[in-house]
Amino acid sequence: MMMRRGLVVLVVSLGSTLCFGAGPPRVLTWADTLQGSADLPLRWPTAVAAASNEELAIVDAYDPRLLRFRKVGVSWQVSDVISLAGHAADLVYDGSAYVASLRTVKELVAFAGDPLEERRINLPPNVVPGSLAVSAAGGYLLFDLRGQRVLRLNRNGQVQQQVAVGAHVTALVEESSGGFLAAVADRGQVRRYNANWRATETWDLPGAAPVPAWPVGLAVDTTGSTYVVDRHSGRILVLARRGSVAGIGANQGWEPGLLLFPSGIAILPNGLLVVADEGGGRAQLFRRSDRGSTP
Amino acid sequence: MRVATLLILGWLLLPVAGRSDLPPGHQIDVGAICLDCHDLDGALEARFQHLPVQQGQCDDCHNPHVSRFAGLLNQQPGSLCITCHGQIRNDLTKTEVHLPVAQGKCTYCHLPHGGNNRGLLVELGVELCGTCHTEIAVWKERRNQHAPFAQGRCSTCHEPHSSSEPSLLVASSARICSGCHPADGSLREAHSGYPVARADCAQCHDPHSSARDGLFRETVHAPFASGVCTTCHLGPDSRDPFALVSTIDQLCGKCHGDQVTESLQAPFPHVPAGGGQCTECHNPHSGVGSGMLKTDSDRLCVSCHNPGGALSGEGGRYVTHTGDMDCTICHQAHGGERPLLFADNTVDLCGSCHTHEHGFTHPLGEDVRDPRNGVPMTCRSCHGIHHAPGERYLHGADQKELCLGCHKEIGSR
Repeated sequence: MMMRRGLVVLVVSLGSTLCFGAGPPRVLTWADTLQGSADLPLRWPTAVAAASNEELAIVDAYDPRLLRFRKVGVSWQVSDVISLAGHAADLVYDGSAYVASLRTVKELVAFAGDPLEERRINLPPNVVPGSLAVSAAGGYLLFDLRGQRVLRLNRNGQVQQQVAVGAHVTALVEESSGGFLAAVADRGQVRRYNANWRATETWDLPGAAPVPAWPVGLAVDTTGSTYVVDRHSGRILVLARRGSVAGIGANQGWEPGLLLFPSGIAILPNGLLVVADEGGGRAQLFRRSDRGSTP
Repeated sequence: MRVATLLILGWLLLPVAGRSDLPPGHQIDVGAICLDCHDLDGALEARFQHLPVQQGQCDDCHNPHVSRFAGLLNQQPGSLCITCHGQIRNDLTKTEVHLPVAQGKCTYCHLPHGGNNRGLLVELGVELCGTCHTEIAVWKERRNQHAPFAQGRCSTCHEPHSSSEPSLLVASSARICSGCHPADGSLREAHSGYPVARADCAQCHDPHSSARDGLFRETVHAPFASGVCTTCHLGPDSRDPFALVSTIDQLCGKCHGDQVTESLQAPFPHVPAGGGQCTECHNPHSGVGSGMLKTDSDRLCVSCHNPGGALSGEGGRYVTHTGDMDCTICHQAHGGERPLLFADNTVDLCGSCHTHEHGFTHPLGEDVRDPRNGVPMTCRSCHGIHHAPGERYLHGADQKELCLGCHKEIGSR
């Protein structure tokens, strides 16, 4: 009798492992939603950047404008709004300023101070700025949409290094090695470039069948985990150091915690992820739930 | 008791499992039994038979008693074929897999019992391919036809199962072409002195047929037709003869300024167009339609926006906006002012075709907020654009659940 019961338990647990345990674990928990205020609602947020645990900025393509949010008590409130001279392809925080990559006017613009003031960073002729990342060397990595190359720029916009990467790069992030990761949307891939800027690895991202992955946002945390925003599935893929999927978060949908054609991601110093939920007209915060609580 | 059960089971299974163990003269001729009822539609009289049919081993593929699969097959059709035709496993690992192969629908092309064509093909050459690739009939109407195509020899250039080359080609386009058209001096001469030996010939020449001489594609770009290649390229004797004299958008913008500006300035750019990469979609030499696209628009879009996903709707129960629909009816190819490159606000865009539904509907628009995320309600709040799990393309397979997701007060009544 005991043996038969043991056999049943074994079969059931094997079955449930095969049926339900095959996918990566869910490792993100929804933490908060930022929607702006009644007079300054977020409409089409396309990019986000975080300055601290209490301050972040969001590009809204509706006007277009940049909204700075500050945490007051337990809620996030809009503290500043500034119109953008053109449409932004990306937004980063470089330690002292938010820097937007303004594609339509072909320049980078830094926003700093209280209230926000802008400083233009001229780019070399013929560069059409796309995805942007902060470089630990004290400048930026920029995808040139026209030249289909990644440029390392100093803070004045002068090119220090460049590499051809091909078309359809939708996000960049620098790694601690000095290399970088590039999201290639139409291939559903993340490509790794080493410190010498040579492509060394290609990570094929799993789609949410039958929809293939369409990566549009990248972030790397202090432990080396990579977060990839999959626009089509509304998911965030969490990758281990060699590109294997360590977990997933969110899903496509309307309710809080779900994403609708998200388009950008940033990490707060405390580890919270902030995602530009373009279709949902909001930004959403998530925390890693497989690592204990975040402050 | 247990012994008796085993004996009865053994006796029942004997006809299926024990055929070869029976002494000569007592063996069961499975094929003969089956043929008492199944005449195989004349397959036995055909020129070629599938080996198991020839050997009367129907039970290699069919279970005589019961099966979970149609036709009492032992396994799903594709998996069943692979048990003997193991080389198909390698085919499945290549980058381009013919859709029927990927879907295990071997019988789209092959007869399972017997037929008059080698490989048990249902038809030969273009007659077979044309049953799915209906565009072949259009190509057949054109005045100039490439010899292999005219002769119906599709497999001269295409692999039937899979390939590492696009369009299931047997090799790179240049390599296939040079098999018949050697890269000698005359080739260079015919191309204004440019070294085209390694170029992709199909970029300008239609490998099937064309109404134009030289098998040029439907529309020829004026600067290309003039033969003055240096309008865009460096000279044929320069170090990098195919290099452009300026950036692509600057070149294109000389004549197509409005479109280039529209692409570069769009708030929501089509990724390549936003960077002025016009040639991602357009062929600057000769292309399809007035837009000189690289290929038909329905095929062009899905070359990046993978058809295995949203468009084919393989995973959705209800598939919408497929077939002859042109993506540019709803999406702006050069980029637009709205997310997802929608040509208009969703309500008006959907309403432009769905006029009936537009007249009586759930309240929509700026003043009606979706309680789930606070954004204005649109048709897309409830309906999928490309595919959906529910009837009428509703996002929820269970309509009630979808409604109650917002109208929670009704659920609590």
